[in-house]
Parts: sequence; structure tokens; C-alpha cells
Amino acid sequence: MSDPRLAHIRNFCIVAHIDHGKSTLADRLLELTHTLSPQQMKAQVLDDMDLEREKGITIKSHAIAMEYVAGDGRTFELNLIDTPGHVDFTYEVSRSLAACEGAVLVVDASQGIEAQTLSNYMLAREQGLAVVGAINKVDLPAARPDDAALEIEHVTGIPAEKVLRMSAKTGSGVPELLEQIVRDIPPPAGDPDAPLRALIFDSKFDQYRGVVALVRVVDGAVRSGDGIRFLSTGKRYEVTEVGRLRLGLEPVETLRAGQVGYVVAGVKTVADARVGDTVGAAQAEGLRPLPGFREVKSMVFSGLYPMVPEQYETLKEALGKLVLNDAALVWEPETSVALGFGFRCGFLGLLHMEIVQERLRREYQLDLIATTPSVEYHVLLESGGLVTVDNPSQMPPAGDIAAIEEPYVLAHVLTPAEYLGNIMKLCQDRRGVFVSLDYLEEKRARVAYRLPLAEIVLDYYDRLKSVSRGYASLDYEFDGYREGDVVKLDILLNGDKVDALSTIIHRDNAYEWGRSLCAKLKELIPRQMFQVAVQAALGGKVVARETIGAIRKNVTAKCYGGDITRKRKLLEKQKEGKRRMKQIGTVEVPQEAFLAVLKVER
Amino acid sequence: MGRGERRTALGPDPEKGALTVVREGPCDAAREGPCDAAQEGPCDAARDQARAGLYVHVPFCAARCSYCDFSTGTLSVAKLGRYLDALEREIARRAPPAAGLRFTSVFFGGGTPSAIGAAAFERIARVLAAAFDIAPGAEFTLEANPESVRPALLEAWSAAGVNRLSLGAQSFVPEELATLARIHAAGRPAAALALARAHGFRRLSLDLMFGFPGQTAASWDRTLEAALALAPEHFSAYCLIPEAGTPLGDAVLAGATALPAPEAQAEAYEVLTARLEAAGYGCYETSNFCRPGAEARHNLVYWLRRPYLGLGPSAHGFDGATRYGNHRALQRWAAALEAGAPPEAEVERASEESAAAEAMMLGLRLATGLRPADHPPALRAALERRYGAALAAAVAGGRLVTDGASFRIPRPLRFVADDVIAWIAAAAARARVDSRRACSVPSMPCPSPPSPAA
Repeated sequence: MSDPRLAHIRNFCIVAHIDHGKSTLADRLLELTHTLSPQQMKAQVLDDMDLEREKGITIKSHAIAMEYVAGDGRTFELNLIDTPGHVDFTYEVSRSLAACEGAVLVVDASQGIEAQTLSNYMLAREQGLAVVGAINKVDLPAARPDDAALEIEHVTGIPAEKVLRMSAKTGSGVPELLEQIVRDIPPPAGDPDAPLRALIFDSKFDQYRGVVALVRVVDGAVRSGDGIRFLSTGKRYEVTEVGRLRLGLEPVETLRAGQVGYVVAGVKTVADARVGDTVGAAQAEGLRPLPGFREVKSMVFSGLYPMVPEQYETLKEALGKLVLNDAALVWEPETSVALGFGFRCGFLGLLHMEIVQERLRREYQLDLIATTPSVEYHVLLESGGLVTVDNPSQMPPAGDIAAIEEPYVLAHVLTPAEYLGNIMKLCQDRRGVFVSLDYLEEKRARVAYRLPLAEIVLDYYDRLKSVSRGYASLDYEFDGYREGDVVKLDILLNGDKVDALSTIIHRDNAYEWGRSLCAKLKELIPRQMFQVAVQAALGGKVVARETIGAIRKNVTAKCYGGDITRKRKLLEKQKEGKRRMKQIGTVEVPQEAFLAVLKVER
Repeated sequence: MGRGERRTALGPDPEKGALTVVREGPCDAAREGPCDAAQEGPCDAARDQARAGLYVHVPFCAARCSYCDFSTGTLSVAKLGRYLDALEREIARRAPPAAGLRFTSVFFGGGTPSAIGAAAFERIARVLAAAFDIAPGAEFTLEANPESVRPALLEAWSAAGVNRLSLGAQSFVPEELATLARIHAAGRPAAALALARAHGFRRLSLDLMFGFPGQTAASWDRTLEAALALAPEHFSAYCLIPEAGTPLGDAVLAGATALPAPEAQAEAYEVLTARLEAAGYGCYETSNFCRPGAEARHNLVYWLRRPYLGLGPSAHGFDGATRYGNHRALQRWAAALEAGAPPEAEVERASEESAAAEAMMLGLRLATGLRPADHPPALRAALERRYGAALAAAVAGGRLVTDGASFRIPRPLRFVADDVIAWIAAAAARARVDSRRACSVPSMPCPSPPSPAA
């Protein structure tokens, strides 16, 4: 039962699919509660990273405190905790949910529930959250609010007639939603008089304060000067600042049980204030950690190399800075024969990888080559040992290998029933094993397959979207290791092996893959001074070959009337073009060629 | 020509290392002496005679060709008057700083220098002769449209000292001349050449063009056949560069018409080289061919990175340390001069880096290649430091050949010369970085990834 001192607090999140209007709704709530002045309102306030705005997804969690005077005259403290919106960040989502007592399930009136929404809803239910259902975008011509409400009823058990109809864009229905939030979502439980226990649901690095941990205080209170410790590491710190989350950080004297806010305590890296960890009172004995903490594990690995060697130091510094803020990113130096000095990086998934690369490019102006993403294989040796391999070039010689195990995932795809056939074929083509099929309503199905992770890291998601005209959505979770007949496929350019283009692949796909990859490389590698042979090889055996003919013309035939400066600038451009290529043996390979693997059609 | 007729010309004097009188004429020097037909590229005499150039841009044409992006416009009395006045102002500006230069070549380009009448031309020539130290017997070239070559003009040119004509033939196939929007008839260059010879011109050059839309192997053959029959001393053969803003260039860039495939262009270049060589014309620079000794001194000035003065709109100049480019538009160029302001749109001071890059890039266009010895000691040292390793790597990879004194692009690679040059520049840039970071890398501290939870 909730302590009466906490009765005015409501902590909730919004569960919604990308584009279903979560950010717009958040904007309306901020407006209606006068949390921001009109000048402070910029569209989609919560997505404050450019990248997030562009991709229309939330990568980091955010939170904001609002004051709301309800219809009955009571004043409530509402804490809206925004959640990351992608399958790569399921764990972060679960921690954000754990900081809440309720969730607003928002569904687009024309799209219905998507896999991601469903998966987050399931997470919310597991956490025991109260759920308020709302149909958004009812003002649009294609809206089918009744169908969407039935779907919500089917999935959540909330009666369709109780599901709110609203338009976050126009604001209609949003005041009713606020009333329903304070009515249906319970106030926080927790003991204000017990020693401090707070859940970290996100942490970020601030260059002036160090790590800013976003927390939900469960028991007790925290104030500046308190001693705290992180229960997973045992590390102790002294709190230098606590505060609430408004548009920025707003210091307060004390954060009490039930409240959401931030804690600053001289922590140097987010790896020491991990999402899911518990902040406890330093002196309290026998404090039990809040449930649900786990180490995040990299699922996808790729080598990152600077395009030009002089950017190596910049890349190193940039990665060092990113990990301050991204505990899920792991990295260590590696070298490649083809690419020189770089870093092996581990990511939560493909999107996470893409985001990290994009941030390195934008925020640090780095020109990068990323090697083919790989999953982590368990290689059992004839000698009885086991090595983990996340980089094809480290694969032991075939003769030493007794067996290779590869990681699997359990994937759930939610789709309009008409695309089911396409999707099942896609899953089968990717070595998927059928697990289950059920229908959310007559025309919407959920199908589950067990798939090798390696089969979905490259282009599965794009293919899924394309065979379902964009309607299918995907969610997956790690599902253990299983033995597989996988082999290493090498690419040779004029006989020189290009380690950065090697892939680990299932034997059945190796020939076709080798052929497609050679063809793609032929497209991507420009003609050179001399003919280039592109070969794919399994072990020592060449399984595919393409030939890139020699360049025939590249000459400036006129002298531009003594305008040597112009000629020199043209040369400068051509030189830079060549510098943006990697010299591998005798062949110049452009950056895009290293992405060829991602572009192979199959 | 006999030795008795020798007038004045330039040549190296090994004793003084300065310019001195040798003999007149196109290339008798070469034919009689230092240049022999077997030797590739600009002969030593020609190289030594190319000391400093004077370029005058004449920005007028009777009609604009469909591929041309040079500064030019149609002629009017008012515009011509303004041009001549402004040109005199520019000459007055530029003469004092050039006082120490003795010009070994004068080149009237355009536009179409032959488009302005005899009186205008004579006026310019007179002012030039008064303002600059033009070496006796200097090469004096004028670009002419075959259509405008007439006896009166030839007499005026000859009287003013012009001793070399460069005729824009481009093609001898009527339909192709239409594509290029050339105004002359296909038979006109032959008549112009004959007329020029009759007026005593001994050094004649024909401009040809290949690699443009509609040209075929057969039509190129026809053009070469017709051009060779005229037996000029010199050929310039340019592969069309489709420039945005020109009718033909825009059509190509928009996909409305297509250039011949790169293979066909390369083939055309090979045919060109082979046919001209068989007829006794050596390829001394990527786009230039001549009978032994008949190299265009003026062009060699550019390739050897020697000083030249440019006059007129869009003209470029180089004093050995600084490059400038004048405003392209007649109006802006003239307005600046009328206001007593500098007519340059751009000025660039050479750095060691840019000087070495230029020397490398320009030298490799010559059939004799890049000869470090052609350059002053400081630049020679910079070339060695910046490009020594890259040049050696290019030799090792078959991109260059060397005899120790020079680096040359082998003949089969001439049509991909820019690729070779860019490769060397990129290799040199990489080498610089590698040498800076040689042993600083492998031992940096790095966080190791947390061991994945099982």
C-alpha cells in the first residue's frame, strides 16, 4: 500500500511504436501542464539528439517532471519517463518501465499495434504496471479507431469502449488522458523512512558534472552530501547534487521516495553507474538490490577504422568519450592487414552500431570504414578448448575446429496476415525454425521463429520491411547457442586476402554468397590502372571470380590557358578520392566496398 | 634556310648560362642539331628556348562553339574599344614588375584573336613591344579561325612579328563541325593553311578534337587523313571535356547526348598517336604532337613551370612565386582596370607543397617526363623529399619508367595520366602520415571490454 506522503505522485511512461505519436503526445502533456513556456516548446522536446529526431526514434531515456492540477483541484506531480524505442534497447526499456507504476499504451488509429509496442507492453505487464489505452491520430482520414480499440482489448483486456480516442497533434482527448492517468495509475509504493534505495534507469555523461544518473527513488531520500554506493560494484561516492528533471536539470534539496530525478556524485564514467543498478545509502547494512539488474551484452561486433591513418587518435578519443555515455559500447584495439590500426567494437545490435558510427561521423567528423558485422561464435577445438570468435580473421584453421556454435534469437514478427507467407519464407530462407503463430485479430498475426542471430544482423530487417510493404515489425531476444555448419569465406583481390571482407557464413549459403559478393565488389571497386581479379574462397578453394577491367581514360586533355591552379585543384580532388581508398596490395578499394556485404541481394 | 640568313633567336649559351642569339625560325635549330627524330618529347633546344611567356587573351568570337567555356563574347565596336583601352592599362600595370623578364614567346589566344581586325591587332602588338622585353626571334603565335584567315590579316600579323599560327580545325567532317558549332566549312582549313604558307608562315599548327558525341572511328580516321594531308608542323589534339554551361557540355551532362565510351576515346587516342607518329610527328606532351623541333615554346613554359604573364580577361599569369587569374568577364576585368584596381579575381602564392605538386603534375605530362634537374635547387629538394618515395613506388608498380634523370609515364598509360599523377600524390600524402606516426601506435591503453555475461 502506498504511503500517504506519496499519494500525489504518478510515475508513468508512454509505450508506442515509432511514428505513432509518442513525442507529440509528450509535447502536448508538457503544454497542458504548463511545464514549458511557449518559447521553450520546440516540437518533440524530449528527443534532444539530432540523430533521434532524424531517425524518429528515442535512443536514450529521458524523463520530465510536470505539475498537474486535476479536475478535482488536487495538484499532482507527474513524472513522464520516455523509453528507448528500438529492439536493440529492450533492457533499457525494461529498466525505464521498472521506474514507473503505469504506462500509457498509444496506438496509431490507422496502423494498429506493432511488434515493438506489443513487446514493450508485455514488459510493462511483467513489471505489473497499470495500463491506460489510447488511440492516437483519430483525426486522420485513414483512421480506424474502432479496429485499433478492439485490438487493444484483445491484447490487453482493456475494454474497447474504455480506450481513449485522441489526437496528440490537435490536442483533442489529451486533457481526458491526464485525468485518466491520475485516476487509473496508482501512486508509488515504497518506504520514505527506510534507508535509501534508488533505481538507475539511465545515466549520461555531462562534461561539467561527470555522470548524471537518472533515478527513481524507491525507499528513503537522497540529498547533497549523502554517502551512497552502487550495489553492483560496491563503489562509494559522495552526492554533490540532486535535482528534478525539467527541460534541463533543476537542483533541489532532497529527492524523496517515489520521486524521479537525478543524482550527481563525481562518477567518471557511465560504466560505473549502470542502468538497472541500485543506488543505496552508503552506511546501511544488508541493503537488497532492486530486482532486474544485468550486465548488457554485445551481440554484434565490427571493426572500426579511420579512413585516413591520421584520424586514429581522434577515433580513439571519440570512442573513449562515447563510452562515458554508453555503457553498452565496448571496444578494444585491433589491427587489420588491409585497414591498419583500428578498434573492435561490440554493440547491442545493428541499430546501436549504426548510431555509434553515425555519431562518430557527425560529432567527431570521422571518416570511417566499418568491417562486416559479425556475431560471436563459440568455436570448440579438437584439442578440447573453446574460443570465442567475433572477428572472421581470428577464426582458427579449419583443421583445428571440432564444432562451431552460433548464437540464436527468438524473433517475433507482427504482420498483417496477407504478408505472412512472404515472412515465413524469409525466415525459412534464413535458417529459421518455426515456433508459433497466433492472431491478434482476424487480419493481424504474430509469428515466432528461432533464427541464427547472424542471419538477421545484416539485412533481415530491411528485407522484412520490403516483403511486407513496411507493415511487419520485429522484436527479438537472445536464445542461446546452437551448433551450426558455418565456414569462413575469404575475399581475395589480385590474390591478396582482404581480412576486412572475410565473413563467417553457413556452408549452404557460401557459394551463392561468394558469387553475389564478388559481383557487388565489381560494382563498387572502380576500374584501376591494371585489371583486378576479385575472388571468393572457402579454405584455399576459389568458389567465385569476377574481373574488373583496367581503366581506359583519365586524362585532362587541355591546359586551361595556363590556369595551373585549376589543374592543381582537379589533381587535389582526384588525390583525395584516392586517399579515401584503402590500398590493399596493388588494389585501391573505396570505403563503400567494405559495406558491400551489407548490400548483397539474396 | 641557310645559315647566312640567320637573324636572331634564342638559345642557351653554355658559357654564360644566359639567353643569346642563335638563329631564326621555327625549328631549324632542332632539325640541324640537338633534336633528333628518335628522341621522344620536347628536345633540349626547345626546352631551353621556353624561358618566359606572354599571353594575351582576346575575348571575342564571331560565334561561340558548342563546347567552349573560355571567356569570350561576340564583337562590337564599343566592346572592342573598351577592351583595347583596358588592355593598355593592364600592360602599363604589369610592365614594371616584369622589367627583368625577357619573353621568349608571345601567344594570342582566345576567344578568336583573328576575329579582331588588323588595326586592333597592330595596336596591341605595338604596345606590347614597347612595354616588354620580347626576345628577338621569339615564338609569336596567334590562334586563328580558318574562316577568318585572309591576306590582309596575314600581312598585318606577319608585319607585327607573328611567326606561328594555330588553326582551329577540330574536324574535317561537315556534320561534326555542326555538332561542335564551328562556323568554318570542312575545306576551309586547307585553304587557310595554303594561304598562310604563301604569306611566309613556316610554323603552322592544327587543333583537332576527338571524343565528342557522334564521332566514330571512321570519321576520326577521315579527319586525321585530311589533317595529315595538310602537313602542318604541329598538332594539338584535345579530347572533349564536357563543361557545364556550354551547350554541348550541358547536353552530355543531362544525358541528352552521349560521349563515345571511354574505350572508344582511348582507341581514338591510340589511333591518333600511331598515325601521327607514322607521319613523323612525335607526341611531346599528352595533347601535343610535332615534327622534330617544332614544339610550341609557349606551351612548354607552362609545363616546365616557368614564368608567364597573362593579359586580358580570364588570363592567368605566374611570376615564379605567385599565380594570378584575371576576372573572366570582359566587363569586370575592364571595370577594375578603369578604376585603377587590380584586375585579378584570384591570386595564389606558391608554397613549397604547391610548387612541388605542380612540378610533378606538369612534368609528367611531357613525354620526356619529370626532370628534377629542370627546377631550381630548393624545388628539386622538395620534389625529392615529398615525392621521392612515391615516384619510386610508382616505378615499382609499373606506373612510371625512369632512367635515373627523369620519370616518365609509359606510353600505354598516357591516356590515364591523371590517374597515375593522382596515385603518386595520394601515395606521397600517405607516406607523410605514415612517417609521422611510425612507432607511436600499438601500445596505447584502452579499456578492455567487460567479459560478456554467460
